[in-house]
Parts: sequence; structure tokens; C-alpha cells
Amino acid sequence: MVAEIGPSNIEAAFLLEALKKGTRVDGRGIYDYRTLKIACGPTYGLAEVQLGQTRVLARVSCEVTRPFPDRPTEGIVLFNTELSNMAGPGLESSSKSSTQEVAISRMVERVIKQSRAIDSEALCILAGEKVWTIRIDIHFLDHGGNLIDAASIAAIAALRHFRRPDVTIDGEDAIIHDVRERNPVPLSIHHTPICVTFGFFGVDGELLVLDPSLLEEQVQVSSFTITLNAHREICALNKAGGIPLSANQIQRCTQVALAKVDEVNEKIMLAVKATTA
Amino acid sequence: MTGVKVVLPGDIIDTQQPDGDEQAVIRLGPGLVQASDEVTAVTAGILRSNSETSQWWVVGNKRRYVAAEGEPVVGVVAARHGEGYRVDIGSAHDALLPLLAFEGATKRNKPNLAVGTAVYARVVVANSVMDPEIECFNSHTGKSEGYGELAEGFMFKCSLGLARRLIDTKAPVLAALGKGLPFEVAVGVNGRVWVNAGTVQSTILVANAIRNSEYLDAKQCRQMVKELLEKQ
Amino acid sequence: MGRPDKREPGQIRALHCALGQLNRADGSAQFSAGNTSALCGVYGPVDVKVYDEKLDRALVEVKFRPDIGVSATKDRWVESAVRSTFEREVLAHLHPRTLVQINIQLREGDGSVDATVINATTLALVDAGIPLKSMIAAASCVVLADDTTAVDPTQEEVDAARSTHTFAFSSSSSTRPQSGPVYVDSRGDFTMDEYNRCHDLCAMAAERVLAFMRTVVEGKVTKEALISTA
Repeated sequence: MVAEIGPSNIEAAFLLEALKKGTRVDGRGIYDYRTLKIACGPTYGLAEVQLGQTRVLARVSCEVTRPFPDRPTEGIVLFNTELSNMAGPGLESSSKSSTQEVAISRMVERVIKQSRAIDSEALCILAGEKVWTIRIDIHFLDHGGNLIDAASIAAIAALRHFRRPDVTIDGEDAIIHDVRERNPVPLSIHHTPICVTFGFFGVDGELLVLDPSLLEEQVQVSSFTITLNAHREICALNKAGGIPLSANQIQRCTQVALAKVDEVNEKIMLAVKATTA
Repeated sequence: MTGVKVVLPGDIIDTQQPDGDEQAVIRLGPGLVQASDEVTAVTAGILRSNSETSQWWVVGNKRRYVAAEGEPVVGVVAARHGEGYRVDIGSAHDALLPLLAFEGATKRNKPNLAVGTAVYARVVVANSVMDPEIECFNSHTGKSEGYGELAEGFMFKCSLGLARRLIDTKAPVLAALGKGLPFEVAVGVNGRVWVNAGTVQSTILVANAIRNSEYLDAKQCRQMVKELLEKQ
Repeated sequence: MGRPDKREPGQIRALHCALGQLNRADGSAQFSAGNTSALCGVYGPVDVKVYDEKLDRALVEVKFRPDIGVSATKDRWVESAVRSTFEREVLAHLHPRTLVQINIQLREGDGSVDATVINATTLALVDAGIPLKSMIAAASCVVLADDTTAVDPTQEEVDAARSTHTFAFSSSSSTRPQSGPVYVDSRGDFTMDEYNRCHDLCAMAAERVLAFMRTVVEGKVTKEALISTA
């Protein structure tokens, strides 16, 4: 299946003209997120995020495995993202989108794993013998732009919502309790990194928007993702290619992102609470 | 309207008119096929019929366009070939737009369209075995009749059902907008709408009003347009 | 011995459906029976690779993705079940040289996955306006160790079952009962009598699913019709 061709010249020209006047074609202000909806459950570890017309489903699951020999006391976190045709026509086959897919997967994986969001030592059951492997599957359902932010929100919501079976240690034996026998327990999470993405437009990237839509992504000359947690710490920055940006713009983005991350974190907490209380 | 009849794929249709002639030839339109001696629906929608012409068809909503002769479409130039342009009209295959299918075009003087240019055109060849062909003029009169390059303004997508409702000049959203501000609109039945209202703000307003009207009835449309105009 | 969730042997779980949620797909449906839930997105008729092109009909392609992990051999099996069921139902000759692509994402699997996937696919194809011979509804049934049968089993019941059976029926087989199921998948040890019992239970369950599908589609079509005539 052939990928859809990009936007027409009039769409691109109109979008730029509108941005120069400080408006966006979907009626948003330049620092507005699209409507964010987070739904968790019914199963533990299932979260669906809707960001405007973008939809992402995250599923967290666990199993008991042997630890890596060089890290006998740490659990394992596995990550799987796949950009399929489900999210948009031709996403699976074309070579252009496979680089996009790799970029998105790497970014989300880096944000969750390398920022040590999950306390991996708490996943140890018996050192060198048994640990929990936590698996995060991210399914992109509808590509309406800015998959990175939606995926990071879905992953954090699913991790917060997830419960693993309780374990008791009896000498050298570990007893894993069925969820019907004993209440399952939440994961130990150090912090919740959230991605906030900006798109840049114009000759020098002087125009910027928050949360670019699909059309905006197709027209933008550069993008920049900043990842922050609730403690206002920067966990990751990503600017892969595109035109160079000034340091001032990066600072401006950081200020905007700080405010947005608080809003997003609050929404995640509410969604998780609504289904686990 | 008395009793809307909804049909689903596989439903057998009783095409017998109450006082009709049993031998009358009936004509089947979109959504209906004949299987052995029965007529069955193959898509979901409202069953419609015209007792004078003995035509039966199903009205449903879709998002993927299948080209049909005579219909106006909004396309985007995807490539240029020796004898014409290849234009994406949202159907399975790109349409061919011959270089000379424009008003006043001659071998020496013909429009030069860049890839990505939007055009308003009419489907002239559409069948299941050939790629569709479109024209930006009426080949009988040689006049453009409103077809051609869409140079300014904005373009967006909508469902094919909404596009067909917009083509109806009585579409409530267009009537309500027309009372508030001047604008131009070109509706393709392939679910693409082009609008231009002069300024950026007005064009965005018109585009959003049309997009919002998908699930609104006439009264709700007027209310929605009124609120949008007041906010401006 | 009763069922873990206190259902009657012939009782299916609560059905839930949402049509046309996806924006990029030409048609979509999310279909759930209890906790088992599948999302299906359909594109078509769209352009097909020259290599795959059929000169006289549309190619029907099915992709199934599990809820956990990457797709494996058992998932190919679901793909082939859906493909073989719908290849004969889609009126592919109406759109030659094109592709009808069916993408299925399992959201959660708690038993009766193949039946739920087939039901989601029917509704997504209808939502996309792809011409179909009829509606297809599927149901699963298990025979448990104590010889009792249970329709629309949960994963717990599937794991405890001696045999599992999935049947799909076409909406036109209610008017032509002799035509029988359009898809059958039976696994495990079972007698002919058990097979027949499961067939009958699934046929009754599929009737209920069909009635539910009709309500869902009628609701959507009527809503749109009322707008256009108001």
C-alpha cells in the first residue's frame, strides 16, 4: 500500500501564513495542547491515550524470569513499539516512516528505561535466581501527529496503573500469590518523565508550536522534544536533524514545557485513581 | 419522511411495488446487487427508491472515494508525465489529468502545475478496469465552469457523506455561514473541501464550521455558526 | 459446577461496540465481549503493490497484532482465520486491482479471541462501506472436564477446557439454515455429540451477536440520515 502523499501546496502555505499571525489551522493557540484524554483499565496496566486525533494504547505485563548474570539483583524492563498500518496507511512499508518509527521507539524507550523511571531493584525476587520482567507494549492506533508525547503519556499511565502479583519469600522459595488470593501490588516508580514536543516553522525556525498535528509535522522544518518529570528535572532532550535552533528558543520551550508537564501529570494521576481506587 | 428503512449487507430487499407490475424492470444503484433471483444489500445504509424510474439504491457514509463519472473532485497533483498530470483524488488509483484538459489550453500555451498543486476537476472516465481520468473544463463548451487550479485558501478532508450534503446548495452550514461573511468554497465528493474567505481568520472559521457540522442538524448548525461568528 | 463468573452455559458476556473511532482508517470498529476486546481498522479499496495486484478482484490482506509481545505463529493463525472467512464475504470483484487491508489490534484477550476478532472485522468492513455478501458473527464454546459446555468462555475456562470450538455464521444463513457455519475451528478431544452441542450453542450466541450488530449499525446510519434530512 502506497503511503499518502504529503499536504498540498496551499495547505502548507496557508498554515505558515496563519502561524505568522499567531493562529493555527485547527483554531488552537501556539502553546495549546490538543484535548488529552487518558483511560485506564479494565485490566491492570492497560492505558489508552487520545491526544486530539492521535490514539496510543500502552499495555504493561510481567513474568518471572532469570536475571542477567551481570545484574543479579535487578529486574528487566522490555520495551516494544511498532508503528503499523493501523495508525495510518502505508506506515509499515515505506522506508521514510521506518526511520520515523525508529526515532519514536528510541525516544520513548530512552525516556522510560534510561532515565530509570522504574525501580529495577524492587523487581528482584531472589537474587541471581528470580526477578520480574516488566514488558511495555506500545501500540499506535491512529496517527494524527505527535506520537512521541502520546506514547510517553500512555506508557507512564500504564506503568502507574499496573499491579503485579504479590510475592512472599520463604527461605530459598518464593511464593507468587494469585491475584485473587492476595491483592496485587503497584510497581515502584522513581519518577514520571513526560515528553513535550515542539514543531518549528519558517526560514530560521522562528515560528514554533506545541504539540504539532499531523499536517504541522509534515510542514515543520525542525522539531524538538524535551522530557521533564514532576520534580521539574530534565530527563531527555531530543533534536534530531532539521534546521539549527537558537539557545533562546530552547529556553523558551523549556519554560512552556514545565507548565504543561504539571497538567499532564495531574491528568495521569486522576485517570489512574479513577480505576484503581 | 415515513419509516426510514435501514439495510445491512445480506438483507434481502423486497422490490415489489404495492401496485406495481411484476414484470417491471428495476434498476439497482449503489449498495445493491442481484444474486440468483433476489436483490440483496451489500453495504449498510438507508434504502431509497424512485417509483417512477424503478430505481433502488442504498445511501450510506464512507470515507474512501471510488471514482464515478461526472462527479466534481478536489485533487492534488502527484506527478507530471509527458501527456498529463497524475492527480491524487483519494481513490485507489491516481487520476490522469491531460495537459490540454483546461480552458483555452493549446499545445503551445497550457498551464504548468507544480507537484502539490490543488485542482478542482470533474471525473470523465471512471470504471473498474481503467485508471480514472479528470478534466478542468467542460469539453463540450471549452469553458472552465469553475474548475481549475485552486491557488489560495485552505483545503481539508471530511467524510464523503458530509461532502455530498455540502454540494446540496441548501446545506444549512453553508447557508448560515453565507449570512455572516463572504467566502468561496469548492466541494469535492471525494471528501475534500477547499475554502477561501479572504483572511486567514475567516478561512479558519469557515473550515472549522464545516468540519464541526458533520454530526449536527440544521438547527444545531445555525447555532454553532452563530457562536463562531460572535467569537470572532 | 457453575461458571466462575456465574453465567449460564449459553450466556455470552456483555457486548460493547464503537464504530468509526479511528480517523486515519477508512472504517473501524472496537468490539468487546466482557474483557476481551479487539480494535479493527480497514483501508479500502486502496492502491495495491503491482506485485500483489489481482486483475479481476481486490486483494484482501489481514494483519493481526497481539496485545502483548510481537506477533508469533499463533497470531498468524488468527490472521488466516479472518482472511479465509472474509475473502469469500467481500465482493472483491467489484473493485479489481485494489487492496482491502484489515488491521486488527487485540486490546485484551480474555478468552474467545478469534470470535471477537471476527466480529470486530465485520463491523469495521461495514463501517468502511466495503461491499459484503452478508454480515458474519462468530462465537466460541468450550467443553469442560465435567462434560459441561460453556459459550463465550473466559481465558480461565479456555485453559481448563477439554476442547474449544469457534463457529462463524453468515446473516444469510438465518434465512437459509441449510448453509451452516462459514468458519469452524475445533481443538482438543471431543465427541460428535459434544461438537453438535457446541455448534448449536454458538449458533444461538451468534444470533444474539448479529442482533447486537444490527442495533449498532442501525443506530449509526439513522443518526446520519436524520441529519441529512432535517
